[in-house]
Amino acid sequence: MQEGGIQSAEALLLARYFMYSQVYFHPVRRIYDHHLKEFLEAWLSGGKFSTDLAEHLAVTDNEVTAAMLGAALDPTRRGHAHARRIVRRDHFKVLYSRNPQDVDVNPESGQAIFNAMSEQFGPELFHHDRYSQKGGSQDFPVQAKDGRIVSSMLLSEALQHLPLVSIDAVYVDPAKRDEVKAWLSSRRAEIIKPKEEAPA
Amino acid sequence: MKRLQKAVVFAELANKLAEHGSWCGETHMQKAVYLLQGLTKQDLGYDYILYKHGPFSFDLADDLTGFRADGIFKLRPRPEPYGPTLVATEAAERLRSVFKITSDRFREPIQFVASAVGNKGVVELERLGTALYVTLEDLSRRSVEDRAARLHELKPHVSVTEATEAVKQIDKLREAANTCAQ
Repeated sequence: MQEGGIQSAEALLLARYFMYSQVYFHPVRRIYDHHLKEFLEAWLSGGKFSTDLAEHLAVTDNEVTAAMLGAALDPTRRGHAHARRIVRRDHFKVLYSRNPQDVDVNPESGQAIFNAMSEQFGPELFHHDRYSQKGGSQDFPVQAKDGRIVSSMLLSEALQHLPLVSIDAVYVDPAKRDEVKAWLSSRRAEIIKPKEEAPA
Repeated sequence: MKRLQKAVVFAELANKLAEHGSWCGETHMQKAVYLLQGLTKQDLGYDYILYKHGPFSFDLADDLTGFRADGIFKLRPRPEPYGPTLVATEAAERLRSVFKITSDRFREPIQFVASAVGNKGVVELERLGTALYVTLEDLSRRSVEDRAARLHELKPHVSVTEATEAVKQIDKLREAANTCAQ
């Protein structure tokens, strides 16, 4: 890339960041992913899509959607709980999401909260969603106006400060949200405090 | 090994590499972790494949990016030739006080690797890493010549002479690592 194109590269990388943070990793989209995966795992034979080509192609969105509706309406069917959450829009709600102050104390604060909540109220009421951006770098060679090759990060302040996507959220069954939230609010600081490593 | 324990190890490794004059870019970290695993038998759980510049772990690359996302590392831009330097932050220092046992356990192996390769550039690290790769790839391939030939076959831009030198260096380092471990 030549130096004249650096702003276009900044715009592209920022647009990608916003797509990830505001769309692909929107909490409601993520939790529907979770409910769908859980439903499919319960509904599909062996918990997976068939690797037989004909059988695989026979399962389209139509089959999945119809099965989901059937399971949502019938508590005896496999995958009922998650199908009902999707169909009734009764998805898990965000209880806790990554906060820079907490990350400073414990980069795995979501895991700590999920563990504590699960122990206190039961794991079936919670879902922990953790994702950190993989690979990729904002560092690439740029040909400067005088012909020299320089790092994009040296040329661009924006690229130096481009955030990375990191998701750390705990979701809760909406029926229990108020109770759980009240319990958590007075204990959060203690829960996220990292425990000193013990000898193996 | 837990993710944050790995972060503590990498932060310590980055610091020690820098102390020994390393550029400490991502490629340097990749090779240093490979040597840490292969020479000192400290299993950090990373699988390596032979890639453009020698042994490379995609999982490690992902973890290093993840640690930056969590503020444990940051990139410090630098002029060419190698790209930015990975720098451990204060958050890494705080983690070290939580994971003292891991930090202590890795102190000597890290010191060993950092002093062995801290002053080496990417080209040398590629040769050394690949020499270790061909050594561990088939332990029945014992002679220096066989392994050098294999290295040259995999990386034709590395001459047989350079490959032979790299394999000899790896043998010396393996021996030194074994002595340290006893």
